[in-house]
Amino acid sequence: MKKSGIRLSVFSLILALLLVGFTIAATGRNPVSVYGAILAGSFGSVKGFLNVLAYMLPLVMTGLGAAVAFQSGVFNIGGEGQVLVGGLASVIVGLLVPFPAPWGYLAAMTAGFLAGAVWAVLPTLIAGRNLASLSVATIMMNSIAELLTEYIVKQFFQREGASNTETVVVNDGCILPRFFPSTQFNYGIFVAVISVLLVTWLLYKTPFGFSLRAMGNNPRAMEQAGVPIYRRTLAAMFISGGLFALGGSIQCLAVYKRFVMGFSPGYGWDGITVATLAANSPAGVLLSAFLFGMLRSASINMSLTNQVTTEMISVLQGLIVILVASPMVWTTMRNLLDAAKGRVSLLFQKKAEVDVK
Amino acid sequence: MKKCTNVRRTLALLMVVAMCAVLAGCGKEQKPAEDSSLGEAAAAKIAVVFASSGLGDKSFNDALYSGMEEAKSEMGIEWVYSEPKDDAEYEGLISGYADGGEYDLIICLGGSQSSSLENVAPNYPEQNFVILDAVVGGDNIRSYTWRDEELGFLAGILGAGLSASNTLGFIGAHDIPLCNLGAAGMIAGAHYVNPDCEVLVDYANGWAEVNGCYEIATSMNEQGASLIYHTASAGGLGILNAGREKGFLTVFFDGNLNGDAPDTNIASAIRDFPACAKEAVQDLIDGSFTAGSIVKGIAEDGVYLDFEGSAYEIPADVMNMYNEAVEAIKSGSLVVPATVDEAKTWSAS
Repeated sequence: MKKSGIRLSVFSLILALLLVGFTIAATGRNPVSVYGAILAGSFGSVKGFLNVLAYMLPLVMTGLGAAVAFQSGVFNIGGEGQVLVGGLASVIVGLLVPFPAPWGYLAAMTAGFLAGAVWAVLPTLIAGRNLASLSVATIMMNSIAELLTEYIVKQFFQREGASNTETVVVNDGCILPRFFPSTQFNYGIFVAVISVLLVTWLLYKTPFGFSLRAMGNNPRAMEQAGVPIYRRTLAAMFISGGLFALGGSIQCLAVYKRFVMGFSPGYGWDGITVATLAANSPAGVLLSAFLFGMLRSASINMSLTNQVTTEMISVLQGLIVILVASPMVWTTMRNLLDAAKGRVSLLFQKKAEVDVK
Repeated sequence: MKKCTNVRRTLALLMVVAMCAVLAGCGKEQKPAEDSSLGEAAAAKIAVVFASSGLGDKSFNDALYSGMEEAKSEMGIEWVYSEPKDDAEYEGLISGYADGGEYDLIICLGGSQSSSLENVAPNYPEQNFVILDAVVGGDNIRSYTWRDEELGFLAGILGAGLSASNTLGFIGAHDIPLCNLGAAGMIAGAHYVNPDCEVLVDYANGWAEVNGCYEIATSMNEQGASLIYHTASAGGLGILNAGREKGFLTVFFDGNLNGDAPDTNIASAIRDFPACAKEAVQDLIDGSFTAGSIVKGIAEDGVYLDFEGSAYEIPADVMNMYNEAVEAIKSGSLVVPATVDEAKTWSAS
């Protein structure tokens, strides 16, 4: 099952690249040089590469959040709301807590994690693990989070004289440091790597993680085996929501150093894509988040150099999502391939028979 | 067994990346360096980062675009621009332009870029920046903001002068100081004409609440408001449409849309973005570019009401009052209050 997942992802990626390549060619550009420019932008300079890593960071966290939920068979699509709530909780702690450097941002991120976790557990408490109910409940929590964070910022933390909805800068000790001021790449990388390792360990090396994954594969069987499904669901949502939220915390504490309305261009939604492309494997999330970081960086480079409209990058992302989410394309292609193979081998057989005669 | 699949999975993904690399490597050298045909002659090279609301908004993005095109033909500058898809792209774009060091000036449009500019600007002390519609501190940043309260004041005068019901309406995008500048001005302007004139104030709670503004404007009209002004950003389109359909008067804010409702939209409040951008460019060419915060009002020709395109006939006595007020503000003898609390107790001295 896992192997087919990875094959599907690779296949989807290649097919998407080909299709977008044709589209770029249709607009009169050379797709190879466009893809070349994407790679050059990402690997051509140290700063470019660090930017890709920076754009990757929130996606690693949200991708992990989605992966944990999906492996447990829990449909958490409230990621965007958890990102916002996590970001705001971190910033509020960052504004109020006067701790020095490591403790300040650690406290702020912990608050972010907990806020996101609670934000994910709330809808689960009322909706249970029923797929439809939980999807609807978590989606609704997204809208609530969006308006609630806006309200809280405007009501209590609005920066005087700002023309948009944003707080003032958090206390020095709560700023998650950047490695170099000129790129957004920051200490969040430690959080991301540690999270990947922890989630891998949790899912694959502990009985608890095993029960989560087993629940994802067959909840009824697990229930029969005496695993408390409801509690495991809550636990999965808790971890997933917390991871999503850390994506928001990192962006707020390191990149903006404050809460800015609209800081997330949909990290919560992209996390679902990242996890799906990674076949829900934590290590794979790192790779697919890197790929999406590359695309984001490419989109910025393209608008700087006016090479190709940046919408092409959105098309590419969208196609990857559609193809990964449409396994029938893969199945059909494989069946066609098998049929073709069968016909060829039949031909060879016939030829062999003729030869024998 | 599991280890094995894990390794294979990772390998497979790595190979995809490698394949992309190979594919791309086959390509020709990309990026034919900048067209330098104009580069030599250009008086200045300017980069513009538009707001994420994007070109085609009939409002400030489009206004700045046309202003830069004018600057190009009038001053012989060369300019490039980018349209961010979302707010998270601002920092990458601003620092991307600054990195090359090839642009004499980088212009950032809109208050939502302020935190990104604040992050970038200190890293490039030699680079000049301009931010429109927000104040950002820094030795290399010039900030332009406008006295929105003066526009509200003028709208209030017109409204109170034309109103039979002695009730006007104001809709802000949010209940924040910036949006309330307009409210303060309108209340003061209404009281300037008629101390008994009431101004209903409400908020759309969003920067692009077209439908919400339509509803609020309609209900304000039902409560007697005869003219509605706003600082509701893109939501103003809803107010404009409501006015056209229900037959009450409106003053549009940020961009001239008089032509869209010539019978009911009596004027459009303009904040002259392009003029400020051109001023900054001119200063740059002259070598007199300085950092700091510049506030533009009626006296500096930075804001004005545009009547062009409206078919509504404003009676001469109201126009006289209006012109008097404009002159008084210009001469400095009339100072418009900037907060609602001040406006409520304010009276022209």
